[in-house]
Amino acid sequence: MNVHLKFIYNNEYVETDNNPSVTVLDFLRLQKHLTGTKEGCREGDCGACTILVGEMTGNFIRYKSVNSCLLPVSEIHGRHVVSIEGLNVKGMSPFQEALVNEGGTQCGFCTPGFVVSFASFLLSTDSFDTETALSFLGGNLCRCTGHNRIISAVEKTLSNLKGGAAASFSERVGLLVKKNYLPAYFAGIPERLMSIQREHKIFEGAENAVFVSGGTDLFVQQGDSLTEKNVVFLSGVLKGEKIWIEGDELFLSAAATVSDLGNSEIINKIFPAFKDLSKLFGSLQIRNRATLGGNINNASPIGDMSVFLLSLNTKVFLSNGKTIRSLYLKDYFKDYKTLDRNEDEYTQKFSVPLPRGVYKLSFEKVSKRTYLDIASVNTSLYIEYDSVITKAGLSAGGVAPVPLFLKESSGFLIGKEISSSTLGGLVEVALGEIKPISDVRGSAEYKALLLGRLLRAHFLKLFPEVIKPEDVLC
Amino acid sequence: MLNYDSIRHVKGESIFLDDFGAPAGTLHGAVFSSPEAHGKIISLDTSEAEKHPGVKAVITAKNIPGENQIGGIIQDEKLFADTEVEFIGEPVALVIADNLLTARKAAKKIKIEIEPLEVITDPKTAFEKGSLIIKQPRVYSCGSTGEAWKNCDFIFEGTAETGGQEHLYLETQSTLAMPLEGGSIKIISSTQNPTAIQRTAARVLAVSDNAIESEAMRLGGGFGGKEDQATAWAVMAALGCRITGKPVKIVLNRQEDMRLTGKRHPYVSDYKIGLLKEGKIISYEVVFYQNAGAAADLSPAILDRTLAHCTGSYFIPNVKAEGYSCKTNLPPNTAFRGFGGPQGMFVLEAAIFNAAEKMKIEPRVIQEINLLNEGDAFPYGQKTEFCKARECWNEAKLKFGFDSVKRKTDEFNEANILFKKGFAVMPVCFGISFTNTMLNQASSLVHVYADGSVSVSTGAVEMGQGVNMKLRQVAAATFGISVDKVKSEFTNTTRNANTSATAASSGADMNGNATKLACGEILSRLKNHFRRAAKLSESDPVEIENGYVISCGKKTNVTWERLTASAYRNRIDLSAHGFYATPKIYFDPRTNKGSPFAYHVYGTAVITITLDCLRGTYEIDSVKAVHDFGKSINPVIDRSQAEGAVMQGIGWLTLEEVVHNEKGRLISDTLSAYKVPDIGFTPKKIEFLFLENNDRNAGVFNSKAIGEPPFMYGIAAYFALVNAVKAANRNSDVKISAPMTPEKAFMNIYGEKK
Repeated sequence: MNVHLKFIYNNEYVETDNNPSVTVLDFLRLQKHLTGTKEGCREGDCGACTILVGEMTGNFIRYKSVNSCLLPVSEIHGRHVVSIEGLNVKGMSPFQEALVNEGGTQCGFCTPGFVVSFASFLLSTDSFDTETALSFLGGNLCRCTGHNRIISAVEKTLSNLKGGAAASFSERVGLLVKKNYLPAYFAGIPERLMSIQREHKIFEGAENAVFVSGGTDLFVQQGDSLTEKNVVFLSGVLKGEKIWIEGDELFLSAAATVSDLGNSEIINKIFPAFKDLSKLFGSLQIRNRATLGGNINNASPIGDMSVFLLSLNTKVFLSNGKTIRSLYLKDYFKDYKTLDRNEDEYTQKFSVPLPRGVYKLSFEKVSKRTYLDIASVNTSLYIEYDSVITKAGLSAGGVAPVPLFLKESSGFLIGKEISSSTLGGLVEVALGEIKPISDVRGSAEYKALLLGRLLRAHFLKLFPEVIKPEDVLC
Repeated sequence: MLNYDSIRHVKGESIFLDDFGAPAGTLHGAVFSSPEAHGKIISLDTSEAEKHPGVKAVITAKNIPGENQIGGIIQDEKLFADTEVEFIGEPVALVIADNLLTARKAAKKIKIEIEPLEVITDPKTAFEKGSLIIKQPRVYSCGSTGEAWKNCDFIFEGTAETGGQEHLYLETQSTLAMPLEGGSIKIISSTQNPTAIQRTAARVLAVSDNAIESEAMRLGGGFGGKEDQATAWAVMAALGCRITGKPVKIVLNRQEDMRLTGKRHPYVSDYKIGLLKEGKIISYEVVFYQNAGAAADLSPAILDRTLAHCTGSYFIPNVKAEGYSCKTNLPPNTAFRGFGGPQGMFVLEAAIFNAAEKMKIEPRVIQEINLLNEGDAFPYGQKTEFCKARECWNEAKLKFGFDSVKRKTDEFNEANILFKKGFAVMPVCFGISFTNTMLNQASSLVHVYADGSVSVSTGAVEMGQGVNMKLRQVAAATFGISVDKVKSEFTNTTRNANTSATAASSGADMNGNATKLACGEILSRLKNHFRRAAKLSESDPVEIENGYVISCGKKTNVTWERLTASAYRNRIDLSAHGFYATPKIYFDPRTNKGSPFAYHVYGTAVITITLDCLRGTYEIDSVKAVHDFGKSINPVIDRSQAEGAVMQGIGWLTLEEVVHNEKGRLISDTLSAYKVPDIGFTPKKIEFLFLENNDRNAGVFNSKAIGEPPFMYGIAAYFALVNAVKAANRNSDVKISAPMTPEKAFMNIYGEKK
């Protein structure tokens, strides 16, 4: 079933009837014959297919880098899509030139993706510093150069971009156009985009529907078959606020992306650690698309957001278009990839009780590679305390068929002092609650021992005045 | 001088195979492969797939008009399995359909019944069961180890393992075959070896070589993974093209590519090393068990380089190195940057590490004492010439201060509990040339067009190593014109016949030298033409510099373009074919003695790492190296090559873990399960100091090959990690088994001793 789509790609306005589940990568390469965007893996792990998606926010456009291999074309309706072809200027942009001068490209297959990701940095950063720039390139893989020459090109470019990022969108675009980073047509896009209306559908139930949220996992697993299924895109259903407070609860829309959370002032105020720890979740391209609803319903036993939310005593709200029910997230995960969810239900939102008094949160994740990797073990600990611990939530991934809320361990902590003996006891209880298996992410023995160390890491990080390095390495 | 290819790369304008506009009506192929690692094929039912709408043909072994054989060195690999399957992912059928999705879907409808046979995945098990690619061991030896043991103060034995490595070229295997008239077929593919495709396709299709035109476009990375293993897909496409009469394209997706193709060979090796008190190694015995996978592929040649490089950058007077290519039920392992050299060198470094620990000295004491000197002989008989082993070491020691690195590391470890640092030094000596002497030949076809533009066609395939640019530089320098005038063409077997693979780091050397010869010939015709036109004598000096003719030392107003146009009008041949056979090299495969390498590349690196003792994770602090670049003709390209190689080496020994289960199924079969170094894993500092020299060698304009040698510096990362693990847990008995993943680092600190 085709849908009617309107959008701008690069400098061209398009109206097309398309299967909504075709990926933007295929749309660009096969339908538009724009081949600068490459397919490297079709799982969001290499970034060779990176494009920009610009969305009107107020009267400016917010551009985000995304993996076009996992992005259904229906999601670019009403948006500005930019591929490498749409970024090219006369000659080379200063970054392109720096890549050439520094030897930051060899075979050239990954290079367009890097250039696009760097453009997303230029368009959306608050500061033109190397560290921030590199965080925008974390989802792009180069097998030839070993990346150091690319870093060198970034440094050379930034040294010529003094003065920091301009405040307003139009000033910024003006600056980037003037300095030959962007083609001039970018300045006119907001006006053109504003004239395209984005209609939202209201979901009233569907038979055999496949619900697609961000699609960053579903398109990896079922990309080939989604074009033949009755797909309901939740972006058209879950509208409005992404993150809000109501009474003594924090609400998170299932459509909120990891980036939404990381950029949220509310989240930053309540959980200041989140922004940094969220950098361990996927890549920027993935975080820009992956939603809370998707991550939880994927039911991966090592889902980062699942583990995070489990420690916060989160409730999940399910809707079938008519009625809404809620249950605790810890009860939602029943068994391996099995959820307490009916086929016609989708996740609408989550609620998290607002912290009270003195509280702390720690998230730990160990994977082979620090960034853009799936955890061997991840764990989250939430604690409220005065003289003793009054509330605790401990969760862990990679140690059971489901993302695990460690009920006994959490209970064990209540009424305990923060001390190394409490920590010792906790580790013992926790190891009794888990059942890791050996797989590609590590042996069962490793995962159990690792969780033990990560629990110590939680305490060391949260209570350095009480817990000493000697206590955690024993 | 920049790499002009890069300008197209950064704009996304370079054209890779899947970007190339395939002809209208092109069909798409999907491979159906064995779901079992070993067994007899009882039945194969393709009927449902054939009935699937949009399917044009399902091709199996019985549709092959010629030989069902694609083995290069040994004829032991079928294009399609017919009676038996020997690894998961072994091609059984090719489904050809209107589009790729249809072909893939139909391929899922093929039914195969397999009677399972015993599955072997471990090379030592294969050896014990007599499952070998070649029954006889390969042995390289010199002196007499038997005698030498008596004179040793210390003798140590041990085992060292290295794992496989996925090439992870960003562009997957891809190919397009198109019918030409008279039964000829043109195959364009992402291959390092178009001639192998030509020959193999001819054999499978039962046609002569000249009926197959094989071309390689630029590659989105190769690293050895497209030297032999691009062939099967290209030949399948050609077969599909023959059967359907239509162009057929095959592009593997990432998971297929990872599952179906071979990787770097894992090795298990046993060593015995004998030393004198001061650390001098006088005897070394080693047995290499190479995990070849289910067919020979390039394994015997790779094993030869393991043996040739088993003494690394050191002189050892008494050596006995034995190698077995063990047949297992994994996809045939294949060429990968270093071609067995890294596996050979790793074992000796493990032996030195073990000896140093027991002798309570630092490994670098043993390393330094034993470095190669000028005139030292390798176990294969060749003697070093212009040896740079000590020069690189000394320069590195001076510039990077090994003692101060050691002091700082110790101080850090003294002051920190949660983090420990480790460092290690790695000297490298790598021989340049194909170990198979026959392959050391190259040709170049140079055309100068009447307008003065130049076209250079060689067997060198561009895959990111910058050979296109280097060839342009060679032609431009030889003619005395700007590189803008010169274009490097894609390799095509109709322009260049009997090409060798672009491999062994020798692409620029051999094809550059052939280009120099061809350009030289045209240049001399042009000069003579000028002399005749200017009525000069034969002995009058004529040169071309910066695009102008210099006559008898004086710049004329005759431009290159005017000269070429005039030569054309006067019926001067403006094309030439240059042929280069690397001189002086020879090797006797019966005695395993000779002088197989044109020259050696040297260098020394020091790598420092920091280990998070609580989590087992680590960072690379710095990679510093003094590297023998010869007289680099393009430092921008060479630096990028060197850095990329060392990072790939570090990846092999740290994060990159190829995991199969006991059934022979690859479980690290996606990029989410197989991790290579990313931008976040980049060392905080990478420093390459160029040991520039103008020593005569077989490289073009005295430059030196760069692709492979720096890869082996990565070995230092492994031993740096072992040192850090030991700093974290003094009692840790680290099993030398690469890669040192975070899991292994963690378990070496905390795991129960086994």
